[in-house]
Amino acid sequence: MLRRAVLTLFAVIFIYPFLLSLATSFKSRPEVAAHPVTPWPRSFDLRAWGDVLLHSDFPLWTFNSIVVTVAATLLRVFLDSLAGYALARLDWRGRGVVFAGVVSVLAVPPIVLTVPRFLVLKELTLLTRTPGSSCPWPSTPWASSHAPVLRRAPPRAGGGGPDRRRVHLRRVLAHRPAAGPARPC
Amino acid sequence: MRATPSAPAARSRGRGGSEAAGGSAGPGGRRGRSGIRGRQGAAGWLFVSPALVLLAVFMVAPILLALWVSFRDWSGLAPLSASTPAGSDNYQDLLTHTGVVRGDFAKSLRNNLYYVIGVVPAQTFLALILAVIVNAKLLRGRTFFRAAFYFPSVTSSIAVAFIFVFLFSPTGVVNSVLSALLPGRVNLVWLDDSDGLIHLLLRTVGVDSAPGPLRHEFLDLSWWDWISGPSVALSSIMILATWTTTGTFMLMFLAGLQNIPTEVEEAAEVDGATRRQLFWRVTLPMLKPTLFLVVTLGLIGTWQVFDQVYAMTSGGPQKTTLTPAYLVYREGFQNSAMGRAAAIAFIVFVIILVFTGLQRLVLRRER
Repeated sequence: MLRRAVLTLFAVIFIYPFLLSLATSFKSRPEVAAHPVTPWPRSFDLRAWGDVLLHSDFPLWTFNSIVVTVAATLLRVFLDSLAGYALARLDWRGRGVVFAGVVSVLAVPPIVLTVPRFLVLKELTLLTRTPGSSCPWPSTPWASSHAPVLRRAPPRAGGGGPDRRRVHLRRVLAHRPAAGPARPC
Repeated sequence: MRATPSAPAARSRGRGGSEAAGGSAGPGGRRGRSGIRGRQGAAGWLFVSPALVLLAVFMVAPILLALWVSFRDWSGLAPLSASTPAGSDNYQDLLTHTGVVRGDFAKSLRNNLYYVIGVVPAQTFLALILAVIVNAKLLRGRTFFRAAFYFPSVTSSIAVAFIFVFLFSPTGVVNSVLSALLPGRVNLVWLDDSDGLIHLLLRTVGVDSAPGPLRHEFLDLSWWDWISGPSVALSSIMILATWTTTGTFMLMFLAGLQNIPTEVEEAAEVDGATRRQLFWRVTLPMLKPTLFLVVTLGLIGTWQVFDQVYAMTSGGPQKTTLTPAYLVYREGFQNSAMGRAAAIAFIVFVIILVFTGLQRLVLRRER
């Protein structure tokens, strides 16, 4: 019982801000000022939605995000499963060195890279062109960080091709050791 | 360089190695070893090279470039070739030369230190508790709770930060709830209050200004200001950070919990362990690798807090939410001192290495 109470309390804390922002988006301005706390709108004002959807570049921004997301995800899945498979399952000279190199580079915190990534993009003159500024490249290498995760995949005695590939994809996609809890149970 | 991800990764690498060896010893693995190896060698390099090229262009090259820039005087506006060598000036401005630059850097370090001390334990503890509860087998609505707790983690940090600006506004939800719970009306201006929590505590016992010995300065910041504690504004950001990341770490703990074989826990139960003993003596020790991962990722993340500061306070009020990451942005992109920005980034890098190193030592000793 206590357990359920704790969970419910936290669920409210975690969900309420989202509900509130959804409700606020439908409130009229005076209502937002008068009732900032109620998680449901009384006035049902669609002006904010109209402003964003019709009178701003929001559709363009959304399109940009979709382009980046789709391209980055496809590239990540493809390149990382390739690299991850090679590092985890293939036997080749230089594997240890490459693996150690990848891991140590990834240990460098991204904050160090904010300025120089900007520099590299600038030097490659990618910033001023559309494909450059929306290019998913800078984030792509991050995905390789998850390649090592593949090594943790349990060895399967008679591992069939498609099955194994699915395991890899799932692990790479899961992005963090989240593959466990994502399982239905 | 190989402080953090390498720890779990190196371990798994060891396992991976034996795995590979086991594989080649298996049926059919031995025949024509050199031939297979040759083919696999070509395939290995072929498969890895695209990722390696991207890593080189967007990780290795920037790291080296940043290191070089940190020893130069460059505005970021003129071409890089127009920069002039600065020796170690950028580092000296931050660490040894008295001035505003060093003072700001000291403030950012102080703020972030309090931020780390507050957020890392809070999110780890909360995440563990929630994971343990949600992991219970006989809990109805597990999926719902799991999704609810994970929701903030998958939302854009900037969007979430703006929601919290709204929540923490003077007439916002936080004040309303506190007013309902506490006697009197709470009218805190959360995001614009630069009073440190420890200073506020000291004020209640009558200490209102720096006692003599604390007036001395370290890195252009008086000891009195060093011990200020997080400001109210920074505390709001800390609450937001804990709220955002707890879900992610809860998921990691869940993964760890589900990797504990049920036989072990059942055996302990059969041996008569109470629930408390079961948790402290069996579950928690077996969660140690996950704990290590969570604390490491927490440390790395908290030492790089940027988005929330950028969206909510821009380093104010009175620089009490300035963090090194935000300082990198401010110096590099607003004050056109790219060299200094890069130098800050590398100092932060060293700090992160030291912290994760310490944490590794502590956890290893316990083992």
